[in-house]
Amino acid sequence: MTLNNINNRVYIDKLNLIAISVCPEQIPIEMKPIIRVTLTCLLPILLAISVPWYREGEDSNTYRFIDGLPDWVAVALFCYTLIPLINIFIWATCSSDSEQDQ
Amino acid sequence: MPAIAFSLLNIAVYLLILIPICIKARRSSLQRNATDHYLANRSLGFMVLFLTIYATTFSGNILGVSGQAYRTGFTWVMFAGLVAAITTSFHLVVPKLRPLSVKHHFITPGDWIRYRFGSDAHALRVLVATVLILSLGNFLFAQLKAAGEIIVVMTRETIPYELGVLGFAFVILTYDILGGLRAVAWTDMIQGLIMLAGFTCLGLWIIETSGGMAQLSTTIARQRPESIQIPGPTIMIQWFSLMFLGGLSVTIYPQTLQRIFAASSDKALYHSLAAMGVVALFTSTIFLFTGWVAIPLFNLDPGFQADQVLPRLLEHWAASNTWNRFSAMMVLLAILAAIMSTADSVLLSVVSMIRHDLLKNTKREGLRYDTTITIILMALISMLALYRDITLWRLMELKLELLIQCFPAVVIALHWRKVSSAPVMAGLVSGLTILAAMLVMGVKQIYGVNAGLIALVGNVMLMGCVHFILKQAPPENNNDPRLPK
Repeated sequence: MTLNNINNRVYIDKLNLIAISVCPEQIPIEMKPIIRVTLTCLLPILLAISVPWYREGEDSNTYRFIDGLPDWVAVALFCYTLIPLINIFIWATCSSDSEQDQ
Repeated sequence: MPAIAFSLLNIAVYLLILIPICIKARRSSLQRNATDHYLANRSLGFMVLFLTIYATTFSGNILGVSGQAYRTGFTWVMFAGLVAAITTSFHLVVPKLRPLSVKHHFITPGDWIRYRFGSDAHALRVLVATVLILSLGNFLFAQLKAAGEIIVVMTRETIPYELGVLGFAFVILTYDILGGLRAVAWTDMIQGLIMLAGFTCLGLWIIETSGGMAQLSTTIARQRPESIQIPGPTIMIQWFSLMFLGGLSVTIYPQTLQRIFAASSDKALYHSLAAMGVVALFTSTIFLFTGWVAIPLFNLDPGFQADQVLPRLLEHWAASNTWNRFSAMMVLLAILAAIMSTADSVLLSVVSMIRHDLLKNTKREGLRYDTTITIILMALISMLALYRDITLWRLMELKLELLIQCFPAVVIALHWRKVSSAPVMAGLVSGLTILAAMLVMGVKQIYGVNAGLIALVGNVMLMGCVHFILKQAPPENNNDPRLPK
């Protein structure tokens, strides 16, 4: 395989990754449950990270500002923004099990 | 045009828009049975479902959110956590319950209990239904109270609080009786759109007036430094506690469960929940920022009512020019829409549970008794709502604390195939007893952990213990075909 072919292969793989992230229908059926379960487990982890328990020992005035927000508030809002985005992916890959749909 | 006339005109236009929708819903109803009245014949598509879930989830309590954000400062970002926890916890319920609800024609949450534990579990179904009815009764009471407060603000007390409560109770009652869930969902759709428009106006105003986030944070750090500090351990426990409490209890709102049952397809439901997550984050963030923007504007006096923050802020905004007056009115209408959309859905759910979950068997044809129950219930709750002295946020907490005690019966039983009705019943009774004891003693939380969660721990522990004890008894046939796979 020439270097050019390898580069093309890498390029195509990258395109596939982008296509998968934009359009969940592109994911192979057998991969969907694994990704879905992993992402579903990530949701409570993000909720846990949003609470600044890991800064408990610090002085309460040691915060910095990120985009004008105290860093612990910015982290919390970042986690809460990720959650609906992950949710979109999870619900988009959920299979339809009801008799009504079949 | 004078401000009062402008407000009254807006309220009138808003209510007039709802009339043709209600008439159309009434005409679209082909059958006079429970499935059609309470689930719109399982016909709700993506757009209606998305907007009705959104409009129903956000209620009059949103008034209290800005107030809390103003009072406690940046730590109230935990409200966005509560909303994120709610959207997350739908994964616990929807994928398993939705196919069962379609296959076995569930109409009320009690139908799930009846199916899961069999007809022998009548006592459990009645207790679960009673707890749900009580918590939703409280919720409806809070919505009517919020409607009265908003009308007072919009009309500067030209329409008194009592008239506002009774007027809105009458309007909601009318379209609930006439069109059932179809009318409720269609009006919710309009109300959801008004909410989105109003909250976008509010967001734009915040961006325009706050002078940028950096300036706002600096001012808050100077005026109320405690509002911006990293929270202490008790606040962090409260934060976790709120996410647990809200996340676990809101998914078993009967009106939410009934929307899960009423979807036209799984895909429509899944897409609605995905879209709802995004819009819910947007709404919660807007209300948080509204409270934070108010910190430099108003002094935190001891007698300051938290629920009054948003109305006072809107007054301040409306005074600047005509466009802002219109936008402020749009926000008030959006809040009114949020209140009405929740109140109508709650009323419908409560009546469906009174009618079908408290009795052992019910006929599901004809709606004569349903109408009578609706009128009596609304009259009773409207009378109670005339009492004004309780904050909206406390009402919401009380409702969630009560509601979460049904979590094992509705959600844990969905996943734990072997648990029978006796352990669930024992757990529920113990949870309610612990909660009642804490409320009587005036204990709202212990080390930041909410009373409802403490009671839930007792509830689940006793359920586990009773299950273990029953397991030691002679073996029973566990191959019940009704249990979810």
